[in-house]
Amino acid sequence: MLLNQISDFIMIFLGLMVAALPFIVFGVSASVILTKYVSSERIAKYKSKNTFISHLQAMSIGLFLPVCECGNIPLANRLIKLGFKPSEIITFVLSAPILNPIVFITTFVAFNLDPNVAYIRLLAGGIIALFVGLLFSLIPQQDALLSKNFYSPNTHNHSHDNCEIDHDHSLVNQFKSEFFNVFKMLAIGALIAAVFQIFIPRDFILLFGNNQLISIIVLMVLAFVVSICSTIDAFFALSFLGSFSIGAILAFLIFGPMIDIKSLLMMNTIFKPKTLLLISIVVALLCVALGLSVDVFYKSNYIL
Amino acid sequence: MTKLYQYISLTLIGLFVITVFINGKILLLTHPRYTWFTFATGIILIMIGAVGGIGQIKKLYKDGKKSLSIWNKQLFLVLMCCVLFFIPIKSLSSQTFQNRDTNVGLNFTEKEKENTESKLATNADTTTFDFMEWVGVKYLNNPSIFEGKKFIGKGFISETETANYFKLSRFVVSCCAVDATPVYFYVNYDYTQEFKANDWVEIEGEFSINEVSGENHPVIKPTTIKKIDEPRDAYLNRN
Repeated sequence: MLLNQISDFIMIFLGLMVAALPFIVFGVSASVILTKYVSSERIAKYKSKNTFISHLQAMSIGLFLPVCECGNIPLANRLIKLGFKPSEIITFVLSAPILNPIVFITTFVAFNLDPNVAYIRLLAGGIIALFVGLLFSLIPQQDALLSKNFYSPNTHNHSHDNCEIDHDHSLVNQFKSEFFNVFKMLAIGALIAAVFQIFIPRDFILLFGNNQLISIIVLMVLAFVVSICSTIDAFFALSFLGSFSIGAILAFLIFGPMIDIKSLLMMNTIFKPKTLLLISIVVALLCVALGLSVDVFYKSNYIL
Repeated sequence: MTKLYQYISLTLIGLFVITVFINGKILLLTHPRYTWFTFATGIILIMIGAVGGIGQIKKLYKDGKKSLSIWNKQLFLVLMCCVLFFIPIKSLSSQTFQNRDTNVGLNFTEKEKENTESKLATNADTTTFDFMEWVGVKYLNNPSIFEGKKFIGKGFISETETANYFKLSRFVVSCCAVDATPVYFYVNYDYTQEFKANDWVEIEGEFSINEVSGENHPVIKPTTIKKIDEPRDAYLNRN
C-alpha cells in the first residue's frame, strides 16, 4: 500500500515537472531574447507614465502569451529589469495565466453550455489583477516588494555557489541561470503538491461542498493544493458542476492560476515572502467576494 | 565546475525527456497533445547543455586548470538527474483511484452527449466502443441503455466493498497525472482467486443493470477475462 503511494507520489511529481517543462523553457527563452533584443529605453518609450494605463499595459502582455503561470515568472523577472515597476509585474503575473488565448478557449469549450463562465473568468481575472497591482502601486518604496535575491539591472549576475562574480553574459549562460532559478522552485512546489495529492483524501476536502462560503473556500484551497496548469483547469473544474456552486467554481478558476503552491514558490524568486503573503490574502478575499457575488446575482438555474 | 555540472544537468533533463518520449512512457506523464512540444523542449535542453558544457570544458582547459575538484554542490543535482533514468514510470495505482473516487467525476458537454447518442443510434455493434465512449454513455444518466450491450475493454482492478464485484478502472487525463480522474464500471466476478488489485485485465462480456451498494449500476458480466500487461495507453485522454 505504502509502495503504491510512494510510486504515485513520484508519478504526480514527475507529471507536474514534465508538463511544466516546455512552458518554463518557452518563458525563459522569451525572457533571454527580450533581454538581448529589447532595451529598457525602448520599453520606456512605449510604457505610459500614467499609473492606471501602465498597469493595463502590463496586463495586456498576457494576451499575447499562450503559456500558463510557469512561463510567466521568468518573463516577469526580466520585465522588471527592463523598467516595469514591481506593482505592474504583480498585475502581469496575476493576469497572464488567465488572460491568455489558450485559457480562454479551453474555458469556453469546457463550459460551452454557458460561455458566460469564460467571459466572467476573463473579466474578473483581469479586474482582480489590475486592482491588486494598483493597490501595491500605492507603496512608494517599490523595491521593498522585491526579494533580497532579486538583483537589479546595474549589478552583475551573481553565482551564489562560490560567491564569485559571473561575467559570462552569453545567451546560453543566461538561459541556464534563469532556468535553474525557476526550476528549483517548481521542483519544491511540485513536491508539496504531490504530497497533498497523495496523502490527503480528496473526499475529505469535498465534504464541505454544501455551505456556500465554505464551498468557495474549499475549492480555492483545492486549487492552491493541486496546482493544475491554467490552460486545462477548466476541464478539472467542470467535474465540480452540480456539487459546488458556480461562484465556487469561478473562485477556483480565478484563484488557482493566480495563487498556488507551485507558482507561489516560483514568484518567491522575484517577490519577498511578505509581499507574496499580502498578494495572496488580497487575491483570496477578492475571489471569495467574487464567488459570493456570482452566487447571489447569478441565475439559480444556471447549472446543468 | 559549478556551471559545467549545471550544463550536464540540463543535458540529462533533456535526455530524460527524449527517453520517455521514445519509449512511450511520456503518455503516463503528460497529455498526448503536449508530447511533441515536450520532445522539442528536450532537444532544446540537450543543445543548450551541450553548447554550454563544451564551452565550459574549453574554458577550464584554457585557464590551465590541470586538476579539477570533482566535489561540488551541483554534483548532487547531476546525481538526481541520473536517478530519473532509473525510476520505473507507471500509471497511478488503485490507491490513488480510491482517494480520488469521490463521486465528483467527469462532466460531459451537451455536444459530447449528442455525439455519444448519435454513435449509439448508428452503431448496433457496440464491441467497437472504446472505454471512453462507454464512459460517455454512462454520463447520459440512462442506465437502461446498457442492458444487453456487448463490451470489450481493458482496465485495472480496483477493489469494492461488495463481494464478487470489482471495478474495471481507468484514469482520464486532461493535462497530466495531476488531474487524472477515475472512471470505472462494476464487474460481477470474484477476481480474488486469479488476480489482485492493480492487475490489468482485458474483459469481454455483456452489460446488465444490477444493484451494487444500494444503487442501480451498469455491470459487466464477463464471458472471458484475462490478465494483460499495462498498456502503453494506460490513461484515457480528454481533448
